[in-house]
Amino acid sequence: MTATETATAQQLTPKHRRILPKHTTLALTAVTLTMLPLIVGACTKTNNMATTKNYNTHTLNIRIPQDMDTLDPHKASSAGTKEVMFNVFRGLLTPTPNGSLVDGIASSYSVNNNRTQYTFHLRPNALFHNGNPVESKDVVYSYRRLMGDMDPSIRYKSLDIVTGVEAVNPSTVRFTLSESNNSILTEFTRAIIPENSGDTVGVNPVGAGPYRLQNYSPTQFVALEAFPQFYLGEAPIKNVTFRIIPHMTTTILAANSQSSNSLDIIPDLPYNNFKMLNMSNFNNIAANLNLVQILAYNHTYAPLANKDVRIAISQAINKTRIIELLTNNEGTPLESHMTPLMGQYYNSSIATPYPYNETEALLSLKRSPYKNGFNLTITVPSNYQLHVDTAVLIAENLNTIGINTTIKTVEWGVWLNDVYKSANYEATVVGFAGKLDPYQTLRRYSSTYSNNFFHYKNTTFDQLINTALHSNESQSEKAYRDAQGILAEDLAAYFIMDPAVHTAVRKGIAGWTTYPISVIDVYALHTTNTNTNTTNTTTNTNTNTTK
Amino acid sequence: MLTMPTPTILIMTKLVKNTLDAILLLLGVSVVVFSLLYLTPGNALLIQVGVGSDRVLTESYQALFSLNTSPFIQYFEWLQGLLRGDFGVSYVYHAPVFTIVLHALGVTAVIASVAMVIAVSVSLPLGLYLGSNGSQVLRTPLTTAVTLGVAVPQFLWGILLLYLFGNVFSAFVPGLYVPLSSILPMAAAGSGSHNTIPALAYLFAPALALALPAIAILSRYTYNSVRELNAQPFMLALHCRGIGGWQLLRRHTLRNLLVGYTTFSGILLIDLLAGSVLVEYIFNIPGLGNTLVTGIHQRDTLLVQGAVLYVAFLVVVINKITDGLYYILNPKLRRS
Repeated sequence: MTATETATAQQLTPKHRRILPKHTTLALTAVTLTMLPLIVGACTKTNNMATTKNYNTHTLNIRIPQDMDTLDPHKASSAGTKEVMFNVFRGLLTPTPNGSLVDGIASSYSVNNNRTQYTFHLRPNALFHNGNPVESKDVVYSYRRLMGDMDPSIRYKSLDIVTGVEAVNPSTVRFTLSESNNSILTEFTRAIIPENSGDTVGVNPVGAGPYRLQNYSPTQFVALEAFPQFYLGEAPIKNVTFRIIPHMTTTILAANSQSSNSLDIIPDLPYNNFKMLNMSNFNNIAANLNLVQILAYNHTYAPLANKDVRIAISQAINKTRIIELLTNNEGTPLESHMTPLMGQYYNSSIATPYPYNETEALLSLKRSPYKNGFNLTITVPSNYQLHVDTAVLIAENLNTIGINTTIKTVEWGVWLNDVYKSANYEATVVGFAGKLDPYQTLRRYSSTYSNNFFHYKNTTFDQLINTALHSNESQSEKAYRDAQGILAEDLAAYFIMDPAVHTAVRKGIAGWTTYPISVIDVYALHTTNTNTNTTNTTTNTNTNTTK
Repeated sequence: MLTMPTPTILIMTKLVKNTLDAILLLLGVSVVVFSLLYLTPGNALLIQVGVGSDRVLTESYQALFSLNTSPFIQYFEWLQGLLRGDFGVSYVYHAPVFTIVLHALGVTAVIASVAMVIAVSVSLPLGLYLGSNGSQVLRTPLTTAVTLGVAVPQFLWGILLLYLFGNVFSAFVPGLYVPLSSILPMAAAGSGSHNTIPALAYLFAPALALALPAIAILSRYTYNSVRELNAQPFMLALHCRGIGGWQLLRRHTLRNLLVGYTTFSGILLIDLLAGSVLVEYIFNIPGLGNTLVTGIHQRDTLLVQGAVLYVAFLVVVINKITDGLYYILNPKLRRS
């Protein structure tokens, strides 16, 4: 093409250069502009929504943020799965909201004098969802499976002390232990499944709980329906769907939706998100988690092995400010590795041994060999915003006394591998979820425990929790309380708080109950005719936890 | 004496070469993905067991997933399985990877196809209009809309459309995915008509979120190409010969435009199939993007490998189809 040709082409008038006829252009424009609104309009639907629902005809929708890891109760490890499947399965004993254990499938049990034999008598009216009665052979099968006799992926170390499980008669089952062990009772809460159902329970979970599985759609929902023959009577709410919605914005939109399928309960909703929720439809129920949030030290890291340094850290951190800023002052400050929700085992007499005092902190650091400060890296799991924020505030405090603190956020999988398994860290902020058994809560600091990733060692502490495990009730309780005192005095870690959790519950629903372990108890829920106007109701019970 | 190869031999040779290229590419992708996953810190077994559990994963269980062997053996065992059509079993879902990925891909493919149809049917007329010399009144708002389409990210469109369709129009419940299959005749009796609007809306809204940036990109491309074409001397010659209107559009403008447009569309389709992670996450759609994210978080190596290999396979297939379309669209290529 020559320059003249190009110039000629460019000199064409707009009319000459038109490539589409005028009418076509207009038609195309009209199509383009009208297409979207038309399609949008076609999909619209008016729906007159009532703020309260009739749960005899409607399904109760509860939000959960993650999918089930498996439907097999013996393989499930995620707290998110356990809190849902609590409604499907029952064990010989059942936990209660105050952390004690009551009869479940068993109507009673007896223990021999040296506490090595437990005999359970099963309820005559306990039925599986397939209609078959729960018999001792089912209990024997379930525990043999849990002890690792059947499936290569299932073996619980805590059941190693069980030397025998036998069916005395169809309604009586006996467990024999190699030694007395106070920790064993919580093991009797494990799910009982029908004999020989191990191969199918992951696909078709049959239990003896108040709800049976109706439908499970991976990544989408778990639908349950009330089991009419449940041994304590049919549940008041007939249909419940646990909706798996990971994204918070989607959750809020689903709760504010005009549909009858909108969300009714959002457990563990961050406080700030309540502002986006239509609060004329919801109550805000606050409760403490049975979660121990700590700044964990790796005691093999030289500066942290020095007690004066640990004292300086304790005196430098402003715990009140952390609780105020991050939990709206609703977290409970902790002095040792147990929360007040553990009842008689909790040592309430521990006073803060080294309270917040910046001047004292500087003096304490000067007494140590690290008087000019040192470098400290706090590794935090990035998926737990509370821990990340806490680490930021702690770092701010520590930097003021000359400890050069940096924060390293890592993915949860990386944290598990690097910190929890390999102990390749200096310090970390993390929360330990509630357990029913105080031994399982405190044994983390035992030098003989394989997952003691703090590398903490204290002979007196080891002796105390060993005593607590094998002695009678009152001696055991005292030993647990003393053990907490040692952790506090020795500054085994910096104990921060038990944070609060908020649950959005649609008005018209009552009975939301929280437990010291991961549980969403749908059986306790029922409808009310009058809406409660209470918002920000604080309960003293506990609720589901993050891990 | 040398003889010329027959056209059949030539086609066969090309086909074999193309297939070998594709296999080598997929093999390369599998090596890269496996190495990256192996090098990523984290531990699948620990993620499964969690913190503070007393559950022990026995040696035999680890052997079941070949987790206690060297990475080389793990890779070659996986490759061996692949040749038998066995993609392995997902650690997370305890189900065959093939089934999981196929199901997820089905969901994503339907949405991506609808997104593509929307993108093409809107961008082509829009681009042609902007490239021509229509009314100036509409030009400015449309150009602004196109710029906005490129500037606003997909996930923001996703949130806006989720709110619009879910909370304003109540066409569906946000987060409650209604599969298209639920309105098919084989779905449970009675559920079909009830699910029609939510299912269609749950298909259209995410597809639109995906399509909006694609519309913007494709219409800009069309617009620029048309402007360049109009400046060509042969267009002047055609005008002088009295050719215009539909004839000019169909025989000259579109023919010239479509070769480049097809390339662009192919790339965008691949992007839609593989890169709709955020939109799937916001709409809570059980598609390939969501499956991949879960797999990566849980260190489900076999699931991620399977999913990525599928995506790579799709890229190869779409590229080959695009190549084939060139032959149809461009007579010069056919003659050569």
